[in-house]
Amino acid sequence: MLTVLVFAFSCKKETVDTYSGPNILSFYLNSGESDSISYSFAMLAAPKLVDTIFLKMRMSGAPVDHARTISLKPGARTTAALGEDFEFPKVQLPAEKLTLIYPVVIHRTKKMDTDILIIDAEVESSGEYQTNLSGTEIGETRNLPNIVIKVTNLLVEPTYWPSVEYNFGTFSQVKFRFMIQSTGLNDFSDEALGYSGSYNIPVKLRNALAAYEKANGPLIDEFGNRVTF
Amino acid sequence: MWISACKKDENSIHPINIVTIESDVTSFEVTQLDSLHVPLKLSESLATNGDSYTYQWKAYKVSGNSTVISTKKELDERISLPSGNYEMEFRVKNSKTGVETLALFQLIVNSAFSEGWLISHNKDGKANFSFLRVDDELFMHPAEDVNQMEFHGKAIGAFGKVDYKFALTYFFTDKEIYRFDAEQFLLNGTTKDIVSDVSQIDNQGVNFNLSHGGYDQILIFNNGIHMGISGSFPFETDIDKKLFSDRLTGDYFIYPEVISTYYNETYFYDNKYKKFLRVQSLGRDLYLPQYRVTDAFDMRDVGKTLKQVAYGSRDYFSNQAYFLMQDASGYYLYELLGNIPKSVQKLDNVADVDKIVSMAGSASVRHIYYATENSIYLYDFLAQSSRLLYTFPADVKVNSIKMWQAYSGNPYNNKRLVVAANSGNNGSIYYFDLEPTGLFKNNAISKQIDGFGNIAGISFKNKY
Repeated sequence: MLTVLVFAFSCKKETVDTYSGPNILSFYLNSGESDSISYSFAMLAAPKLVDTIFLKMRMSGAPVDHARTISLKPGARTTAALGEDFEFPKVQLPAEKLTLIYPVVIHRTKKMDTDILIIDAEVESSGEYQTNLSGTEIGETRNLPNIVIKVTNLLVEPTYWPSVEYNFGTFSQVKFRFMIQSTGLNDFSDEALGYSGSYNIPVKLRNALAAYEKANGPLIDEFGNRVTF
Repeated sequence: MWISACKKDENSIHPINIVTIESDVTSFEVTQLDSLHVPLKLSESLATNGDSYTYQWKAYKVSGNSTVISTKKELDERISLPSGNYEMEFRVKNSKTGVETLALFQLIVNSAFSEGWLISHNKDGKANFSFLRVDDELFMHPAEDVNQMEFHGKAIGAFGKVDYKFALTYFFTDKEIYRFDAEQFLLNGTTKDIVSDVSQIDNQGVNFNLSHGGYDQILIFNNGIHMGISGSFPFETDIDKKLFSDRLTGDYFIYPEVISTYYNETYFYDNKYKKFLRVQSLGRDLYLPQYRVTDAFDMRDVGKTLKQVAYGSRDYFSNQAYFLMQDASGYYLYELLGNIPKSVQKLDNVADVDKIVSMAGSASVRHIYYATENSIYLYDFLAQSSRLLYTFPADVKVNSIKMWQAYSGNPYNNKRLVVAANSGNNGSIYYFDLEPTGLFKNNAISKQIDGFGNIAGISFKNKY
């Protein structure tokens, strides 16, 4: 004999809570990105007097139906001069958007020839949003209330230099600047050049140096040593 | 409650016509562009059924794409698959029942361009290189046909080498350097992909070779040296697409010959300062060679002009090379074995020594052949004497001579001299087969292959 089982059940609709809270503007970084940016005008193959550094920003909270004005201010660690060494332009976060790329404008000033200046970029709160949100969310990005930018016209010895010293010799600023201007490259690490590049770039530099010396005589670095490759 | 009953349907069993495929041979080897015929016997289990069939021959590499070669019952097709090892599948499908029968074969496809002579020539004002395979099959425009392209400029020279993890051919015109896969002649780069500091190629002679140890590719053009990485270097990838170095730094004027006589370093001759230079494996600096008091000559300071190079014996560590040198006192033959300067002979009483346009040596005996514009001579190194072997008609001008040195076991190795010569704008290749004495068999041409334009140079592309 078959037994018929009857299942009877009822269902009702559940309500899901939605977010409600303040709108908070912050910088954000991807996993592995440093919260400090280093920039040197001297790393450019073609000289520039003005450049832009772009910072990722996002707003927590629901999108709104109007554009919002975003502004930054120099934080406590700032040593660069606002309006002289750098600018924080006012930009608009478009309606219905929650992320933007913020442009910090930097100017190559004389003091950068001898110093490393700090721009401590901090979100300036307004009536439309608050600041000071930090933490980690799913996707391994993290929010920050501040980002530090170190800007200079000095050439700092790259951390990879000891592993390429065999190819390029002892580091000096004069040598490094010559390398950048001769090749158009600013990364001479093994990873950036690859095997063929690591073998071939020194030839390009030797030829460029030979041409330079023919026109100008030896190239002497800041330590009084003749530059060779 | 379910009740079911069944009874046997006596009309439900129908025999199906099955095809059987039989073949005595299950493994085939073919050269690209040759025809492959596979002898088969097909039989049906119900031969009187009158069924029709479709057929398919398909070749595929393991983990690779498949290619349908034919849809005919008999396979008799010209094979243009890339070289390599394949599984070949023959499928017979009954058009009515859909029943398929399958047979599998092994197929090896050898490159059509496996080993032979690269002949650079200019025909009707256009640059060409042709490929004369060691079995005398001639491909007049293989690269142009494969790539549907034309070359710019005037032909200067073509060179191809196949080695461990390496197979490239370079073709120089006065406008461009072209780079091809050596076994398919597929174009993979032009000048900007090969060197970064070149605007034109001077017609002063070009050369390409690998270092003896296999770590380096070396180009010579515009009398400068450019180094690249080759297959024996285990860490670099995509060697066939990488740039060479700029011209190696230095004040020199290099004779266009990469002298790969020694496993550890490669030599060059500077005709500006009359000396040898060397580069170590994977090196990018030019140095003077070493000098030992036992050396027959000082490679660092020869003081003569290099005119011609020929090669003799070869082994794993050292090759032998002969250099025709000249100064105000006359002509000399310098011998280098590996990295050791072995001997110097003054070439007195050597016929037409001042008119030599090309030289070639035997790897098995101490014979060096040399050509003037019109004649071929044999120089006996041990006897230090020369004799005239052959004189061409007055209108034939010799461009270059080479000794036949193909893959091990080739019956003509060191027994055939290959001569490229022009009569006006028409070029020909001549084979002279050699007696054990070194003389030409019957004192005559063994074979002549015509059809080229004005030949600029020839070189041998090997098989690995």
